[in-house]
Amino acid sequence: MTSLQHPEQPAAIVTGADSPVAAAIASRLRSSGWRVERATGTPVVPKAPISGLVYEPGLLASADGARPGQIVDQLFDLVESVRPRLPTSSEGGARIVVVSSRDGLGWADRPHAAAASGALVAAARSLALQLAPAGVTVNVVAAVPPEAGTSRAAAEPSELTPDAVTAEDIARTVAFFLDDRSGYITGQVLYCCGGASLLSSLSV
Amino acid sequence: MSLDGKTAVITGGASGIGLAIAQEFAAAGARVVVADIVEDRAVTAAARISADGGTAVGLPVDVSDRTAVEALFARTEAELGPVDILVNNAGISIDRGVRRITDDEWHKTIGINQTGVFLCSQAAATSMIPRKTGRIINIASRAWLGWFGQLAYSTSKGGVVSATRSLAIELAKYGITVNCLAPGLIDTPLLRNEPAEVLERLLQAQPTGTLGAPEDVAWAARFFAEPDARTITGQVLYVCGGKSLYARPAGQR
Repeated sequence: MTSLQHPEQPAAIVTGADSPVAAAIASRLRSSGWRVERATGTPVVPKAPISGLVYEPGLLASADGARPGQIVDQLFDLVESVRPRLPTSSEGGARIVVVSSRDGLGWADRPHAAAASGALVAAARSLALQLAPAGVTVNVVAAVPPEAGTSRAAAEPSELTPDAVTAEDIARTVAFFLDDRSGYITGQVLYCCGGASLLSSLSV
Repeated sequence: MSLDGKTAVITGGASGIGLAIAQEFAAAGARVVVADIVEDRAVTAAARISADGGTAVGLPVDVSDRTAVEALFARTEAELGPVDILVNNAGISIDRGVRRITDDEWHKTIGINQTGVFLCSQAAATSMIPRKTGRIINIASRAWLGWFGQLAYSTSKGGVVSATRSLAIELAKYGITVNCLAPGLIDTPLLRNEPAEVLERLLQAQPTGTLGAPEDVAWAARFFAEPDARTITGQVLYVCGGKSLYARPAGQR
């Protein structure tokens, strides 16, 4: 996959400093030619133009206890802070990707993560409408907690596919939305879940 | 390249979105069958892809006809090998208000858009299951959500979405993924047939204010087609410039 065509190497900010999913995303983007800055999620005003922002609030863990309000506010604050540094439509626009969880469809063990995930989808769709005229796309990758060796908890939504979802699968999906060829796709949620989203009425 | 060694069948592949997908897949290394109801157009499109350095053959098919579909997959296997990727793209749109649409128009729309997906998917799945791998990509439409004057079309595309999900659930264990693209306004010959004022109104209802290109859809199709997409199945991805989020009902006519 190629990355946004700007005179210099395009830059992306990836939040989630201690998340293995964010690490896989950063590595995938670097191998596709992006200059990647890892961040904590605290709003930063980038010094140079930013073509990609990946918000990874860490909802893909087996624990609950997420703070939905805080997670959504952080997304709004981040977008607000990078906004002046996003290239305009005529300069090629920019891409924002939010990493969310399949839990947003409902999951008994993680109501907080579910609420945060659902709220992120609603937020992303609204930001997509707000930023569409400026050439900025906003999309969501909703995943299941990725396989980490063989140590995954039993009570996770289970994939229908023979292969379990890995952090690399999620990273590839994020990279797809960040690509310069994905400019006509905005406000969308793509589940990287091995089909685990399919039995919920909210998934379509 | 990401689709090296794969055989792909694209129905309705001679023009518009189907042609863009055939070109994209060929450029990514796939051997492609351009299947179209008009054989001459299929052959011409395939020749164009071959001239650009790809591997392509053009074959005729009426996707609503079982015999024709079975013949297509038999010839595909004979000429390029068993199908690895099927793109159910062939479709028609007859826009007519509820009081004016005829039985023939209704059945023709369902026959091509819905029965076509059934027949082609059945043939492809039968070939893919023993090999425990495959990709089926259905081209639905944002219009399945409903739109003015599109009772037959949106009903048929809603069926494509349901078919995608049932096929995905049933075929997942065989390593076959089934996904769906829902294009919005795309700059194709179909759309260019619309009167200028209708096109203008449609554009005003677009959050991005722009038309998409067939290549935008082809790019997304390639994402689903690649071997690496093995854990993504049953999904409906809108390639619509945000129209699925909210479209002002300016298209009323």
